[in-house]
Amino acid sequence: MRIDYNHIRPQIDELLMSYSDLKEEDTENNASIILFGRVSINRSYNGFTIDKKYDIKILIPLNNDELPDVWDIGNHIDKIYIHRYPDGKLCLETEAFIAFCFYNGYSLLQWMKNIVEPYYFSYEYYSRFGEFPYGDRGHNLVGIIETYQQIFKESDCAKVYKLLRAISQRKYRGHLPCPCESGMITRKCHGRLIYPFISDDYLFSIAKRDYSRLCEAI
Amino acid sequence: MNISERQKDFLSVIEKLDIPPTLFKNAQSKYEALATFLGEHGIEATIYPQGSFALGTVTRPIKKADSPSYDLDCICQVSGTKLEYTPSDLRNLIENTLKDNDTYGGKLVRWEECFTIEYADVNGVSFSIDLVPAVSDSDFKKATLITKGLNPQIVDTSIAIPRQNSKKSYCWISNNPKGFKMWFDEINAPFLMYAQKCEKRGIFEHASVEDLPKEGRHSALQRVIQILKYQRDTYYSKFANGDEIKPISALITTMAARIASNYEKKDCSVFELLEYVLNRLEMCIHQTEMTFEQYSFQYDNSPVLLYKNGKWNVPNPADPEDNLANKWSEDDRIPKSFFKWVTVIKKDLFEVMTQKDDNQFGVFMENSFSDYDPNNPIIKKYRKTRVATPINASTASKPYYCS
Repeated sequence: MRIDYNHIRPQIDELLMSYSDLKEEDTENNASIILFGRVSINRSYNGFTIDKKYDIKILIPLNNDELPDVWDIGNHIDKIYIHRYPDGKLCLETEAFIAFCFYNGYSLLQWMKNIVEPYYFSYEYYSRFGEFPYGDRGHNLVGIIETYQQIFKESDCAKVYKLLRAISQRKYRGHLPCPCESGMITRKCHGRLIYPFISDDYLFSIAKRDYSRLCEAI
Repeated sequence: MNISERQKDFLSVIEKLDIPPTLFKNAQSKYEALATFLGEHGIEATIYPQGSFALGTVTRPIKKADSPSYDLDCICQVSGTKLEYTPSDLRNLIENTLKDNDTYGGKLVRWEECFTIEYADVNGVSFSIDLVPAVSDSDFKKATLITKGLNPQIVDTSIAIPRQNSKKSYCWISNNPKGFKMWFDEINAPFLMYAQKCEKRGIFEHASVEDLPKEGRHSALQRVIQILKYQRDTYYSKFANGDEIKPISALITTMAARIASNYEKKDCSVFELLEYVLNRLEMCIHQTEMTFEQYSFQYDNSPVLLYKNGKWNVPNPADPEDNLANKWSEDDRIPKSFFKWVTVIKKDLFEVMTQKDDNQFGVFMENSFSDYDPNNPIIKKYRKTRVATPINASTASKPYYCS
């Protein structure tokens, strides 16, 4: 996903407007935009509410194939928490999931509301109850497979593998049998769900890389 | 930030959730009528409340919070001892007498250990009586309990209850709710005396203290038990299998009362006692990290929650053979979640309570009570107009870990 400055500018302004204590770092750097400051997160799930403030840094890369990242600069997240890198970077989600959200039209504000805020909520919930409110991804490849299972709405890992193999060949034939080998034609089976990963360059590159890692592991 | 105001507000929410005194009186007249009815049909029986209903520690159930329904446990003790009946005969005697009657027949629901009689709503509050058939325990069983060091006065009220052990067969199990109440009342007495003294002096601001029946008054100990039960119900409601792993009420009551019996300050506030109880409970976890001798030396030589040889034990004060924590050793999720819960509520009650930020206290109140009374003005007082945006689990991110 290549973020172009002119395209992202209004989204950054929208983000700064929603989180009034978030500031843009003044820099000559053309490779990225950095936002930092305090965000207020007031969310609830399953009868549990958090309403807290967190100091964060957001890095939005420009003109390269990378996704925005978040750092816990206020050290609110326990250093031994498994979904936080040692340098404070948050393991928000798998690349495939976040890229798919942007592909589906997420703005930076939606990314913040549906990816970053639920991450903090999930951390607080886990700290309190010892369980993740809406689950967490497994380590390494397990988490990647789970992501495609969710996106392809397919619980069978073998079928997910076959779908990824078909994506990696980058051929879409809606009228031919679905690569999952269900016996149905692709258009009436997983077609709609795998098509974005074939048609979009960025999603394709992620899926192809994930498929290669899967093959290496097998 | 005013801690005493927050504590008072917290207690006022608990107080508002109390079983209404009219309902209490109504329930009492219903079970007395039931005993009279049985008497008229040749069954000499006394019916008396057991559990939280008898101990003054009833809490509103989390389900049906909009139209609360209280389940009141009662023992239906038929005269005679277990030597005069088989367990099935005793059950059948009560069931047949009730089910043939127009008043009770239609309301009767049969369970493994009891019969439930549903009553109509009174001012939007409904209740049901769980009737447990019982007879006095045998003299032999009572003598055995006395040899185990139990007070003969407590043993005297020991009863036998039919328990289903296969589809059609029942056996006797021992129980002693009256003995438990006697044990509890003795510990509670000095705390209750202080509460009554405060009421007379008008320290508590009941709308009409004069109207408040004896059962409506609560000591610091009873309030502590209620708070623990409310916090437990809210906390464990978040788990899919919460009912399987939550600490049972009899266990909470026994541990809190035992700890309170060692607390010298009987004229304490609810929060003083609560902090003492939580501290004592929290330290019990250290038994798993050292030998019992080391624990005794470093912490406590008679922990209420005893861990020895890989087994947790909390003897029932009215029956030492009954370990109230018997499930703890079979399922390690129970002690694990229990100690996490204790740490969490201690933090809420004694850290969040003293934090400068009123809103954080409001969040704690919302998390504690919104399942029971979402529109309580006290929650709104601290939360102002802040409303949390719900998270949609189907679109929410799941944290990933990529090494």
